[in-house]
Amino acid sequence: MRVKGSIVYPFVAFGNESLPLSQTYLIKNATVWTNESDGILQDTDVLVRDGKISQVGQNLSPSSTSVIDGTGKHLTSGIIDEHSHVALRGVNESSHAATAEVRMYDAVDSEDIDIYRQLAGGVTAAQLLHGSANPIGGQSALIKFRWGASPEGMKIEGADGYIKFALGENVKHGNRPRSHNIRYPQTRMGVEQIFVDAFTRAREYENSWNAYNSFSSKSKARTPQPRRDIQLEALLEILNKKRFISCHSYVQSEINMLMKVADRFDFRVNTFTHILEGYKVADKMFEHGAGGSTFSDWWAYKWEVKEAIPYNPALMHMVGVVTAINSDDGEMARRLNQEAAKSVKYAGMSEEDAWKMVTLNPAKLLHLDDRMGSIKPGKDADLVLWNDNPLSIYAKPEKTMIDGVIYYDIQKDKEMRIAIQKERARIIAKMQTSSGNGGNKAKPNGHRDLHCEDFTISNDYSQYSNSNN
Amino acid sequence: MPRPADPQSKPIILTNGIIHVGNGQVINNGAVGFDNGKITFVGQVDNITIDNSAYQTISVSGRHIYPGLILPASRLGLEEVGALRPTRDYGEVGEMNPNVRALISYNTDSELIETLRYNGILTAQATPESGTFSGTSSIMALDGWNWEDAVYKADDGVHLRWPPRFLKGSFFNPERKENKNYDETVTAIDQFLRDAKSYNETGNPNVNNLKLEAMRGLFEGSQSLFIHVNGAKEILESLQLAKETGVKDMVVVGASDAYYVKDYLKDNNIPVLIGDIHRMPFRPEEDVDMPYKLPYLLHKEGILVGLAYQRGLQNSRNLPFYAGTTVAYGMSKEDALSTVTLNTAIILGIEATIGSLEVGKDASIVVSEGDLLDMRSSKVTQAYILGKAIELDGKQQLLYQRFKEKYQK
Repeated sequence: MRVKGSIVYPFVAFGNESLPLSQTYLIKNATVWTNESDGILQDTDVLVRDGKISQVGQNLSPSSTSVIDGTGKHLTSGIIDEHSHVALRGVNESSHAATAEVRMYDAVDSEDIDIYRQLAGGVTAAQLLHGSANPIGGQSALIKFRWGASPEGMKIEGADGYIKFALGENVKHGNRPRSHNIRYPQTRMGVEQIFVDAFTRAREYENSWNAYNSFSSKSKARTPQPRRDIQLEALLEILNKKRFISCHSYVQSEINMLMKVADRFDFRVNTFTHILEGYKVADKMFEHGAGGSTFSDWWAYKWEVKEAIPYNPALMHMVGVVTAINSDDGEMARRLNQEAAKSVKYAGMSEEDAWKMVTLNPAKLLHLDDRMGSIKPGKDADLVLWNDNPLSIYAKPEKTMIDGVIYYDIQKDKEMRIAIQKERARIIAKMQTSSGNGGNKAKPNGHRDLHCEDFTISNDYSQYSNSNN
Repeated sequence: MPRPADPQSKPIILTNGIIHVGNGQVINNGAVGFDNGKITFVGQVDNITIDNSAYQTISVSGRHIYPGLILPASRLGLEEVGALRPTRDYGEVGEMNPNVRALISYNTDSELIETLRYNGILTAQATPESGTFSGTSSIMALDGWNWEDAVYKADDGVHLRWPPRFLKGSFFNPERKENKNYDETVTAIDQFLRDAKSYNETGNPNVNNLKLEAMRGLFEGSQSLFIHVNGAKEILESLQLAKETGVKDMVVVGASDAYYVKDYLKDNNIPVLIGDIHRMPFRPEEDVDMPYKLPYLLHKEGILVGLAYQRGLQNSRNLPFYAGTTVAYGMSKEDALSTVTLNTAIILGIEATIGSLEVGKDASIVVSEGDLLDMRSSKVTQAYILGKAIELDGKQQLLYQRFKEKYQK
């Protein structure tokens, strides 16, 4: 029972009085989905030490470690969401068509209850993306859901830099009122020119600095230094293969277009996200080397998703494209295991391949597969223990671990629910006695569930259904 | 697009399947016979009590046989592409429109319909959605050449959108705000219900009022009042007002806070259609699985629960998986099935003819290779609407085949 007035981390419901710590754990006798060539191993033990997976094998000895009984349960690596907007205080800098200078790291909200809800769904890491209001959006935040940590503490250390691009109806304001018909671009033709112009300017910017830097110190003293431009610097990172694009996209023409722009400027589009018509140009994507991170079965909510089919992930996978299933929705994210299973249902994909679409493949798309996405000694101990086959709708996470720290435990969650009820009753009683006695009053904070398209539209559910992503 | 099916021409018996009746009962090694669109036999294969010599026998060995699923309170057929206004036909302008009828907007050629059938949904309640009294719904069989052909039960209920006491804030100002028009709107609803009641009592008035005319069934018991409402206080206030003004049958739709007023719902036998269980809890301190377990919490109390889906229409094809979700959070599998079959039929007032696999009912039947409620195993192989064998594949399957072939070359 919580002591009155004690601090919890974070300072919201389901916060902890002290931060959970990394421990040595031995998970015994579980069905282990390795995502490696070993496939799915029965009755297998996994040893976790110093935040890493230390050993995978049978009959490992439990010397001085906490033993977790995995009998009848499934152990997997944590789910990674390639496309998320949870834990953010804002999602779209929509003033200009190109806003490569803005950073989602500056908007991370480490106290968002949705972080805890992600953990309860077995999600351990995500790319928090800028929205899709403009062709060139902002820089991504790659985080692990270390509940209780600061925004800085949630960052994935040493992760590559990513940036959101977007195509189609959102960036050309196709579904907005007439008052929005004035911002360039309004067509897919204009969208291409935004990119060509931006990359041309970035290259020229680099040239101007190269020229300046080649001057003698005498000439430098006589020449004004080029003006520093952090937007063009971010774009230059893309050209110099130091920052990677995740591009919101739907129809085949625009997917093809961005790959042609990338070819022209000699870089590779890392990921097409949403990519609902990826199946129509999967061969071109494969040849270019682009990955696809898609929805399992969304379609019909706007014109550009009219030919979206639930076979899209399977077709891209069949051609050899690295394929992931993403959420773009804080609620769906906590059921990404089921979204992956839909490829088993619709296209008869193997269960192992389907599972990789929410673990190993997004890790590959985020260049994190050397340390995340599979159960292999040396990789981060980001693990989920499920009560059933994780592709089944009947499966629930019982424990979710990040870097060897258990951040969600179904038993502890039960206890917290009781404590929260008591705390709630205490606060209400306090409010009742203080009202009218000059007690302090505070307005409740609203909560935003963010999606790609959000910035001025209302969050009301009835609108949401029409304006999804 | 699948061609509407022809009427059942010869009797059929499905054999060796696992029958999920819809009322909680399971029959292993079962057989379901149907003739002229009606179910003639349900039972074990080795105990067939009808003369099935004229029947076409279809072995569905090891597969599961279910009643067709029912999707209530939906825009199906009334919306094609959510973002495009010309394709939206579910919301008439104005507040009091009980006389607008979903039936005549219903588009049998909607491309969404085939994607629902593919997952075992064979019946839907097409429902208007706007204003206060939104209009009158109709129950549609998901096969037919036109709305007259497809209608299962015309004008089954009137839909009332009860106002919320608090409004969600805007994006830049997300604090909840008091709905200052609440009392005014409730007064208008009260007045309208009382006017409708008086009108009904006058029998044949000299001057017809189409709006009040459309409310008659509510007082005579031939139609239900579907109250779309989510907040706990609002649920109580709306039900009390409807009861007070003489409405016979009420259904709560949406119902996200229903658990907080479970005693009233139970004591007054009010059934509930839950609007969306795949959502976040509305309060940060609520149990993280509150929406998932809500159907079970109500069912456990003895409240009749059906599942609806009121977010993006495209996701309503996942209705079986909403039922599946409730199983992970307390429901038994067969009770979960009832929330998308028999319970819904009872709530819509059509249980005498549909909603379960029982002799005499219409042959609305789904066969799946595996568990229909789990996407890991659901694979519908056959479906029958009024005994008609319907085509399951649609445009999405055609596109799949087309591109699979392209890449296999």
